[in-house]
Parts: sequence; structure tokens; C-alpha cells
Amino acid sequence: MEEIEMDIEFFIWITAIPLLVHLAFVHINLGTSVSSFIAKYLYRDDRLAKKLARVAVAGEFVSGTLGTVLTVILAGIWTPLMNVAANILYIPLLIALVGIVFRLPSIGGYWYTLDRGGVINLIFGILMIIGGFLIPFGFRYIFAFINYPVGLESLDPLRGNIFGALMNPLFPPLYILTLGSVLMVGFTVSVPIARSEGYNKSVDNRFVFYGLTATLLFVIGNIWFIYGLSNYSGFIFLNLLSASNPAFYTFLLMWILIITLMEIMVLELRGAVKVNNKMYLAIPIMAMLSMEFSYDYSRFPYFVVTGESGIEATFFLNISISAGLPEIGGVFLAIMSMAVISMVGVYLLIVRRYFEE
Amino acid sequence: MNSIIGNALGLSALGIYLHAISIALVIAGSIIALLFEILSIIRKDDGYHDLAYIMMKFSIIAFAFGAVSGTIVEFGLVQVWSGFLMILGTYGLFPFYIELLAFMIEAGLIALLVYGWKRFKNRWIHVALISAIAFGSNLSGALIMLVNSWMNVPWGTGELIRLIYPWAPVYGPDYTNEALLLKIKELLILEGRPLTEILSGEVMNRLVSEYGPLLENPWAAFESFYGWVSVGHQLVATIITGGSWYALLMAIRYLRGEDRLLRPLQDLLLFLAVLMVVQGVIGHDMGVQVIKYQPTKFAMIAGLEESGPDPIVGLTTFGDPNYIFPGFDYFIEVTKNSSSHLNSTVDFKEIALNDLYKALEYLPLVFSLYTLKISLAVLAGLVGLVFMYTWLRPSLWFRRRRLMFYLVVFFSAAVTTVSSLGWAVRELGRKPWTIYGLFYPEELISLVELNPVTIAIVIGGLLLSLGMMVITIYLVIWRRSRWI
Repeated sequence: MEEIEMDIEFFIWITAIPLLVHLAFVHINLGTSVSSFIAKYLYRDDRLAKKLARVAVAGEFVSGTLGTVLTVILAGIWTPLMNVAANILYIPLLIALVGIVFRLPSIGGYWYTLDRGGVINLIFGILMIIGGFLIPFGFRYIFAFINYPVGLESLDPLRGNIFGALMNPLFPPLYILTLGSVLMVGFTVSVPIARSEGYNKSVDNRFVFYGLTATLLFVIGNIWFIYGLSNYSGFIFLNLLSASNPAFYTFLLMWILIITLMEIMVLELRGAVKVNNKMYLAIPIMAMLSMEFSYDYSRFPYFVVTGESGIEATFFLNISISAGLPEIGGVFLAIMSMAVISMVGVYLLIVRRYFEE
Repeated sequence: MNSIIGNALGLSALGIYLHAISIALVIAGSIIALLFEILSIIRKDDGYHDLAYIMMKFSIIAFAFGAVSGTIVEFGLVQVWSGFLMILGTYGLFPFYIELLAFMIEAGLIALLVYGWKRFKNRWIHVALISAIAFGSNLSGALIMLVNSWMNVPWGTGELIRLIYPWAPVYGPDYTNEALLLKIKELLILEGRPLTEILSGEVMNRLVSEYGPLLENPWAAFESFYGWVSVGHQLVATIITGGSWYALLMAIRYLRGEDRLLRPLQDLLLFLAVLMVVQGVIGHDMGVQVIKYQPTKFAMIAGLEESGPDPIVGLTTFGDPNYIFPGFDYFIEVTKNSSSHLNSTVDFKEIALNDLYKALEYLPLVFSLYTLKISLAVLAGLVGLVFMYTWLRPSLWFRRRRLMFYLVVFFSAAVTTVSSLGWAVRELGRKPWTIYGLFYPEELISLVELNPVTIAIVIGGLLLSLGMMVITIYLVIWRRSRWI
């Protein structure tokens, strides 16, 4: 127990690393699946739709496996927190489950029936998008909850109002922020993919335009969310503005990246510059990661923030087991190594079609 | 309350059964693909190689949809039985944690195999990759079953359970903080609370601060011999069951005139028949372990309301058909005559007696299910002998296609029923506990009452994923005019 308490940062990082990688791929797969649907049904471009769907499927594969890793880490290492979530956030978790149920089979179905099109493909596509956005609809309640635990009446004994938890005022801005973030990443990542198909400028400029619109949504979501934090989660809000907190710098970085992204997109739409593909891949993903890191790191040393104060992370750590760091760290390294191999393999085999028959 | 617990148990059981369909296809598919790929090298026959590819495709589709149903079952477990999180965070932590690695191995290599199938010319590379995937899928299944086995035999709790139930054995080394666990039990019993209520609060933190962590050795579940025998028993059952479904599909196509499938089908049937023999041996060991570590379950499956002999088990286990096995009368008597060594305000003696009476209620059902299971297993074993004999004389089937088909149908139905009954006996046999001798279902249930919406989502989701798996298999694999 002492070991675990002393090394709280270690446990935070072994949760944070898969979480950030998971979120990056979630953004890619959700966003590119929307792009693929647009390419198929708005522009009737099967080839581009297929290519984007392939990226979405690859992203789904990686984010899905890392999601499983996260579930076990949350349940095994942050057991008390998971216990609170399983009971108080019962409905949001159920919503996320419905999303998973629809999303996973429908993305495969959409990809498989893409060449033939028709009503079945359209239905798969719609289910894929609805299911996809239901997943963060459920899970973002957890993030809203740990910023402002609405619905929690008592930890000891555990009591709460599962319907009251749905009224969290931080959830709507967080969800809008997530929608903006997902679409921003999805559309901008779609630009180089569209370009690689050798289209004329007007085609990939559509995705630049969509990306710009989504980035505006991302900005609006951020402002709304920050306003919400200032009202309900003062501790996080102050940390984001405090130069002594690392989150301040990543928060600043996020805004710099967003302004840069918007500027280059405007310039590209005006025909003033041709932006390098790598910029469209790197900037939105880095902006998204900076956003996630800032809002999560600014919470520490608390895990659940209650206004100006909070409940420390150690409170939610599983202290019922004596497990040394070498054991947990060793297995974690092995898992993440396999995850990297899996990601590289999926990228080469599905996205780059390295081994295509 | 009882109906809520009953519904929750029913939902979990249904969830596991539905999820098990894809699991059986994944595990058996990779093993059979390995068998066919090796045979393609030995016999220098490309037909086996093509068939191995088809089996891997089955396995991969089932893996994808198994991931969906697995997520549903996982969420169901956490949301419906949130008290189980304490077990997941202690005895189950390392098995589940390492299971992630197995899952990653499986997921990482599957894409490589499928997309590189025609690119890798050397068949041994295929064998190596399929072996790694089969290892990953089997290890993944094994570790999940290891946790379930721990729920049946809570290894590492030493003499703790015996302190409450005097007829119980010692469950391995004493890795468990007895004082803490008893304190938690007292709280749950005296205040009638589910575990989830205290899992996240000051009470739990104070107890752990006062008594120390609950579990000293996180590898406790791995040290259980019962656990590994049980894992072997379950895995072989899974391979036989899933394998019989593949055999059935091949038999249908053979019946429709795909003659080239006869030889591989016979090889598969021989393999399954050999596994039936292996299962007989492991099943015997399993029985010995149950006698040793789950006395009430053995009394249930042997129908021993009163102590008495079970000639077959007595002869095969102790070399004495007249060996007297303890029945419920013995357990009750021992409990009545025991004096509690526990310094507690809770009357554990009364609880122990009540538990025995509750367990006794399950005896007729478990006994019937087990008897049916063994009878069907014997019949399936006899059909397996026919498969062994006819492997030597394949020409026997040339003019008896329909007979062969019916035999495969019977074999498949029988082993599927045997596996299903086996799981039912496993789960019902440890009642009234969810963790044998330690926790009841009502102590592990969530605060939120199970409602029709949750039931509809879980069952609907599982049926949807299962339905889509079948449709995908049909579209991607079954519609091919010929398999080889």
C-alpha cells in the first residue's frame, strides 16, 4: 500500500499514456468515418470514401484495443473511482455501451458494403455515425463528473442520483468541444488523404473548409467549457491560468496551434499557400492532445474536483493489493510494446496496403 | 430483492453463453487452422492450406464480433455487479492485466496474417503466425477462466473459509488479510449492505489503513492447481465445441458435393475424437479437484443429500467403489458440532448452516444437469470412436454421405449441449455463493436496480452482434462456391 501511495504519479502516467493514444485514434476514426460518409453520399466518390473508411477501420481497431486496456487499468488500479462511475454514471455508461454495440458492427458493415452502396450501406453508415458519437456522449459524462461531481450524494456509503448526474452543467460544453475536436481532426486528416488520390484542388479544399468550420466549433466549445469551469470547477480554471502549472503551457500551446491551424486553412482556401500534408496531420492532433492534457492535468493532485478543492487521486487508488511497481510496470511495458506493434502493423497493412493481395 | 438478483444472474448467464459462441469460434478456428496448415506441409496438399485460410477468416470475423460481445459482457459485469470490482482489483488484477497482453498479441498478429497470407510463401511462417495467434487467443481465454476458477476455488485465502465453514478445505497459502476480509464480511452482514456501498469510501480506506491490504500476493490465482486443471478442461471443451461447429459446416458442404472436403473433415473429426479422450483424462482430474475443494458442489453433482458411495467415482479416484463420500448430512452435522474460533458479533455458525440449506436446494437441479451432461458426453464419445475407426477407412463414407452428416450433426449437438450443461453445473454448483464460501450475489450487486432498459440493451446488443457475425460469415465465407 505504501509503495502504491508513494508512486501515485506512476499510476497516473500508466493511465494517461494509453488514454491519450486511445483518444488520438478515437478522433481519427470517428472523424474520418464522417468524412467517408460525406465522400460517399455528398460527392458520390466511392474511391475516396473507401480510402477514408479504411483509415477509420484501422483507427477503430487500435482505439478499440487500447480502450480495452484502459478499462482494465481503470477497474484494476482506480477501482474505487470505477465503482463510483459504475453506480452513479450508470445511464451514461449504458449510453456509451449502446454506442459501442452499434458502432463496431456497423463500421465493418459500412466498409464491406461500400462498393455496392444501396440502402444497406446507407443504413450502416448512419448507424456508424450515430453509434460513434454516442460513445463519447456516454464517456464524456465521466470527465464532466470528475470536474464537477453532480449526482453524487455521498461516498460513504455510496449514494447518488443517477438521473441527477445527467444534469451536469459541464457536460454540454464538453460534448460540443468533443464534437468540434473530433470533426476538426477528422476533416483535416482527410485533406492529405484526398490529395493522395490526385484530385484537383476543389475536392480537398472542401475538407479544408469543413475542417475550418469544425475548428470554429472547437473554439466555441473550448470557450464555453472554460466558462463552465470558472463557474463550477474553480480549481481547474485557476490552474489553467497559473504559470506555475504545466497545464498552463499546454493550454497556451493548444491556442497557438488552433490559431495557426485556422490561419493556414484560411490562407489555403484563399489560394495564398499550399499547406504541407504533414501540417494537416500534426497540428490538429497536437492541438487535441494539448487540450486533453491541459484539462486533465490541471485537475491534479485531485481526481474529483469539487469547486476550489477536491478529492485526491490517492483516495481513488486501489489500495487493497500489495503489488510492486516492477510487476505492474513490466507488464504495462509489454502491453504497450504489443500495442505499438499492433498500431504499426495495422497502419502498414490497412492504411498503406503494404501487403495488399 | 430476490427477483432482482435472479434477473441479474440470468442476464449474466445469458450474456456469457452468447459471448461464448464467438469465443468458441475464435479459439477453435485458430487451432484448426494450425492443424490444417501443418497437414498442408506434411501432405504437400494446397487444399489444406486454403482451408486453413478459411478457418482463420472464420476466427477473425468471430474475433471482431467477440470484441463487441465481450465489451457488452464486461460492462454488464461492472455495471450490474459493481462489488465484483474488489475481486477484479485484487485476485483478478494480474490475470486480467496479463490477459490484455494476450489480447494484444492476438489483435496485433491477426491483421498481419490475413493481409500477408499470399505474400508469405514459406508455409512455416504461416504456421508460426497461426501458432502465435492461437497462443494469444488460448491464453486470453485461459486467464479469464482462471479468474472464474478463482471464484470457484478462492486460492490464497488459506484457512479463512474453514473458520466459517468447518467442512471446507484449506485454500492454499494464506495470502489474504483474514482480519480485513472478516471485518468487511461483518459490515456487509450486520448492516445488510452490498460491497459496492463501501468500496469507494472512507470506511474502506480506514479499514485498509488499520488492517493492511487485502491481498499480499497478486499472483495468488496463478498458483491454484485447481485453476489450471479447470482452465485446461474449459479450453479443451471450447475447442471440441467450436471444432464440432466447423466440422458441421464442412459436412454440409461435403453433403452438397464438395468431395475434396472429405479428407480434411475426417482429419478434423479424428482430432476432435482424440480431444474427447484427452478431455476424459482432464475431466477426471477436474472431478478430483472438485471433490477436494468444492465439497458441496461434489455432493450436488453426485446427488449426496446423505453421505454414501459413488461407485464409479470411488473406484476411479480412490480405487474403492464403496468409498463413502460426505454428503450434506455430514456438512450439517460438522457445522452444528463446531465451535466458532471467530471473535465476531456475527453468528457465523447460523449463517454457515443457512448456506448449507440453501445449497441443498440446488442439489436436484445440479444433479439432473450433471447426469444429463455425462450421459451425453458418453454418447458423443462413442460417436468419436466411430470417427476414429472411419478415419482409417475413408471409403466407408463415399456412399454414406447422409449418415456421416447425421453423425456429425449429433456429435456437434451433443458436445455443444455437454459444454453448456457443464458451464451451468459449474455456476450453479457453487451456489449460494458467487465467490465460493466468501461472497453471495446480493453482496456484489450494484446499487442501481437492474431494469428492463439495461436488460434490453445487453441482450439486444449481444443478439445484434451475434446476428451480424452470422451474416458476415455468410457473406464473406459461406457464399464461396467451393472451399478448396
